[in-house]
Amino acid sequence: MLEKFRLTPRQWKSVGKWTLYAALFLVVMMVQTVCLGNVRIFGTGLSLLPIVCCCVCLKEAPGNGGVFVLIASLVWCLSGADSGSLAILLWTSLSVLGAIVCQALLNNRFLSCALCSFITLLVSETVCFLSKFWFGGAQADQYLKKVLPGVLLSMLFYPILYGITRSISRIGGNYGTES
Amino acid sequence: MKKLFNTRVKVILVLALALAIITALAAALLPGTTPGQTVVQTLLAPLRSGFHSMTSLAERYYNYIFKYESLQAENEELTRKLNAMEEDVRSADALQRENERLRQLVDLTQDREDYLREDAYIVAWDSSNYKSAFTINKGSSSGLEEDMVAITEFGQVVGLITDVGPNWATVTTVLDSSLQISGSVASSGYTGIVQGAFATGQEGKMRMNYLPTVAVIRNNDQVVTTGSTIYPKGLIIGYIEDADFDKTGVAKYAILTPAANFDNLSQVFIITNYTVE
Repeated sequence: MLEKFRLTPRQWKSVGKWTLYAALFLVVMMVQTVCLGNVRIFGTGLSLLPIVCCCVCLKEAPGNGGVFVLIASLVWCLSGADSGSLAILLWTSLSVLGAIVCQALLNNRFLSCALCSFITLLVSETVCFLSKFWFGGAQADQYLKKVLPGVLLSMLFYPILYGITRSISRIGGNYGTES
Repeated sequence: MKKLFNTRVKVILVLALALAIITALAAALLPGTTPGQTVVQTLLAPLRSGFHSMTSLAERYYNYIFKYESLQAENEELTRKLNAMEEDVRSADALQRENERLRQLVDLTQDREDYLREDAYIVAWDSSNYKSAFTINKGSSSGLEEDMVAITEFGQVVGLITDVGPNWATVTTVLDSSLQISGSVASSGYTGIVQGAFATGQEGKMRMNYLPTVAVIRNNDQVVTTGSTIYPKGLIIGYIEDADFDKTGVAKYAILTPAANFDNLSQVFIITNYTVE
């Protein structure tokens, strides 16, 4: 009976790959909240997790990547993060839609992934800001002072995150074209 | 494109929408921490503690390597200050003995509040730009509950426990706009409501509202808690930096600098119980 549960080498590689993606997400989450949580660069905080989600979704196709982003954003929401519910909706939908557009019209290489990550980050941060602004929790000028610098600063970490995601995605063969 | 937008993708998007609505409703309607939050935060707590230890160790080595000389100079300065303070303590001891004798003479009772405190370390900060909160490494298993006050070792108010789990608790700081504290100006006794000033565009500051229009407010006046079922009396909230009339013109407001230094905060003390003698 246990024969049914025996994994092929390819399946083992797949398990390893998704474990590494999960580990990457947790490490970035710890860096963002524990190491840099109280650090404000130019008065704003970093938001690295949407970039990780977007990179994974683009590297692993909208179907598999979308499930990962959905679970990851749910964990982020349940970790007590501010605007966590919005993150579930925005990170998942934007990453999946970005992956579909890139797969159909572009590719999943560095620049396409950067464009997709930037749009995901910018839209999710803008919607979070608007939700705060709507309920009187923020002022209009804080969009230019906090949201835009935060997005641009976070994008500085994109090459590192993309590099790690790309290395992990190569385990057990690539999805899509890398040429 | 249509081929890529398959059933699986549609299911993921519908699930994302459903989960977003469920978590938002749960956070709004359920009192305290949701079961999902408790499970995830309890599992994350050891990971956060581990990363916190590694970060602290790295900081210590960095400071040792790059800040040795400045630390040496600081040490000399502190030694000089300590000597001066020891002299002050000696004279204060004499004054205290005299004070006790005089108290006994006039039979005065002491109006002093005693706190039971539980120390805790900050293991993670909320990285949001709109919220000021952090997670500590102790929770209900150490006797912590919601609405307990977090202070520094110097009795400065840091915030209030808003969520608690078995081995973690979330403290919302006084800088967050959602927290309101009844405070009074120590020198003059004017009372008002203190809350975080982020929503009014002054990040890192607090705003004391509903001060009377006749109030004479001076810069650097200390603002302390007035005392309530949650906040003990006399805890230092902050210092007045500026004051003006509010929009309505029927009250004044003051901008406060928080007494606690949030940039270097790593340890807090939770008041688990307090009594007035």
